Amino acid sequence: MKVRIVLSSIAVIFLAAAGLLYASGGKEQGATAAAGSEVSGTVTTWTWNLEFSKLFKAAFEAKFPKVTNILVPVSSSDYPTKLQTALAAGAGAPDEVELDGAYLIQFLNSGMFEDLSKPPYSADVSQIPRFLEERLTNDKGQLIGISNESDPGELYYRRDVAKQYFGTDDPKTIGDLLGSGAPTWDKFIAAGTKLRQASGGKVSLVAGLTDMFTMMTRQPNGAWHAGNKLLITKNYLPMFRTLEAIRKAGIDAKLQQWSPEWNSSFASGSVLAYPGAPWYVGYVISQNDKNAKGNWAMVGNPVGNWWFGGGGFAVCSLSKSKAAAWEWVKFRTIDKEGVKVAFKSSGAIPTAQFLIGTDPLYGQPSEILGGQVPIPIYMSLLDGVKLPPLSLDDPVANDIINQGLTRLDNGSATADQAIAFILDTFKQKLPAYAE
Amino acid sequence: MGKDEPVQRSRAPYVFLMPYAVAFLVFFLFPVGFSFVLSLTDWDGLHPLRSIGFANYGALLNDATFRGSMATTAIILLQTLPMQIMLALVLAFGLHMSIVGGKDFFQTVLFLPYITTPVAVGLLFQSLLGGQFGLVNALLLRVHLIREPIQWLLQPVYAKPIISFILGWRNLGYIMVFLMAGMKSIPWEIYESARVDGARLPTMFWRITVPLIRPVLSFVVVTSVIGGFQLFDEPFLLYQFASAVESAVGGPDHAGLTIVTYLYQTAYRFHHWGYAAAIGYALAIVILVCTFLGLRLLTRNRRGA
Repeated sequence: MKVRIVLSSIAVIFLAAAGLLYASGGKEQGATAAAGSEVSGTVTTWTWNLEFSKLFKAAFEAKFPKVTNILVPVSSSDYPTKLQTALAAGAGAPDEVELDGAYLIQFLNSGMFEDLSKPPYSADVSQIPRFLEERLTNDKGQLIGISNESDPGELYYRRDVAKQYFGTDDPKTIGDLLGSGAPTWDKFIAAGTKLRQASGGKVSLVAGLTDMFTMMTRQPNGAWHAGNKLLITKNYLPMFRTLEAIRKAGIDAKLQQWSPEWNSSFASGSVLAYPGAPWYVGYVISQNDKNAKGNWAMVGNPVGNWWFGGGGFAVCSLSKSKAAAWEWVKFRTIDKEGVKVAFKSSGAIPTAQFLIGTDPLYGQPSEILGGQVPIPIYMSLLDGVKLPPLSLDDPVANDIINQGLTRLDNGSATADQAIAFILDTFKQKLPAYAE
Repeated sequence: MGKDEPVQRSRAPYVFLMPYAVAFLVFFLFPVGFSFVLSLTDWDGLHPLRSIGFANYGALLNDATFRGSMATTAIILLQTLPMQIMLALVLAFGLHMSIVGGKDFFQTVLFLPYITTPVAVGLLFQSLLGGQFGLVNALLLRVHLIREPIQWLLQPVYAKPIISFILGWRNLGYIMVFLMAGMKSIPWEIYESARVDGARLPTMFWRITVPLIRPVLSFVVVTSVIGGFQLFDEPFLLYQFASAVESAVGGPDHAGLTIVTYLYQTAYRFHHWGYAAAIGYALAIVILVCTFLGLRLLTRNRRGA
């Protein structure tokens, strides 16, 4: 009887332990640090764009045959939570981390990423725009990542709609009407009014206030704070009044950015122009409009230039394959062959501007953009870009501002009322900031 | 074993219970305890814990968004629960008394929404209620009830009714199944006697069925209240992607922001894990109080008897 009890106990404990071990997963193997293509190891990357990452993986593994790249699909909305959990637990984090702009500030000063400006990395970022280098530098002066795309903002428009209602699809003429030839919002709105009248109200200049808001908050006067000083009245009141004027003029289609209807509007031709970034060509326009080839063009920005990029790539300090992860980061950001993969598949332009002159590929016209050569235009649109400062209070601040924007968008508040609401809510939620 | 033989104590049952006990400790007790500890800190998810005492609970008392989310949750509950239970009672009675045929068919059809994944439900209603291309607007425009599309998901005034509708639609079949199970335990002879005495269906419903399934009704009400306070799936998924701002949840102007949705936003979007833990504990206290009061109310007559 006692023997049976003991044997049963051992069996139970063994089963429980086996279950726990199975749940906890296995361990990563460490990598041997070595120079050049002798680099070996396994690099785990989380990606929300698996097909795009597979293109990089194939090219990377051809260059570094001793490195195995494991791509793990993780949705963009789950990425920061999963990453935070892994970093807090000290295990399970990817070797190479993508720090998107939406959550960059959360991890920037976490101390969980390698300083790429120091040996053994000593990243050469001399050709990267200064504002992008600063964006990925933490409060200790450590460069924790490298940006992978330059992403200046611009306006994309449908050529057939422009030709029908403005009589031309020529980017210079359209640009003079509503792009960089519109130094004030009044001129931009006037172009929209002309379009509305010509189309009998069937076509709108822009999709919605959220599109315009995305652009305006990234233009030079888009910051909500400077240190502890709130800039809501200074920057956001004029912005909201402009949005109100756009809505009153009836030149927006009242669509929410990224909604299913917004996506459908690219193909339907009910909207002329969309503020976007170089990645719009591959990820948004051609995905939503199957007949996009040759039917789109881009112009510079009304009022001021802006930046619509993300964050960058970093080497996680928990990685056991740091050398291999660093090669992967370089390949994605400042490697001649690596950035060509991005450019060919999505039109993303390299951050390292010296690479642009190294290959005639970058001087090729774009099929989607009707023969426009985009790179020189993109480069010119980086002039005057000024990024708002990052803050750990950005999520709360953005939520407050968004509530105000929603009130304006759904007509339940005027611009001034929406700003008053925002200021009141700031006093309650973020009292450390004051005007 | 005879009546006078002493009960043999054995260690074996405890050994077999150990895996469950370990799992209970690790996956339930520890998180409950750790959450409380977390609620006394200002943890951001990455840096070491730093104690701030009961400051989070103090902040909760002055937090208008928290009060708003409590009110939103309570309003949705009040809009949904009474009608849902009444409708489920009537449907269960109708099927139980075979007033309409196809009992199994209707039971299955009404239960289907409950087993549909919340993500699919959220996407479905997002699509139905879309402004320009939603089916609801298309139908209303077709019959000339409206002249231009209604922005259902952009207007705060529609948020609570929509969430209430989705919640009611989803859980109706589930509640009905419970009530039908309760009705099955009522002896059929009682209905026969009532019929012989000339009682009609409404009388049988109010005088026989409802009193006799009171324990099941109490269970359904209490669990529905608990579930209602924990409402998250429907409001979150319905308004996902409804804003251009990453951190925004809860619909236009927070009109659909329930307590748990606010907890989620505080933890996963604002990265204020300590404060989110405090919200969780506050919610637990609210649910405890409501459950206690609900049970007292529902079992009041039985205790008196």
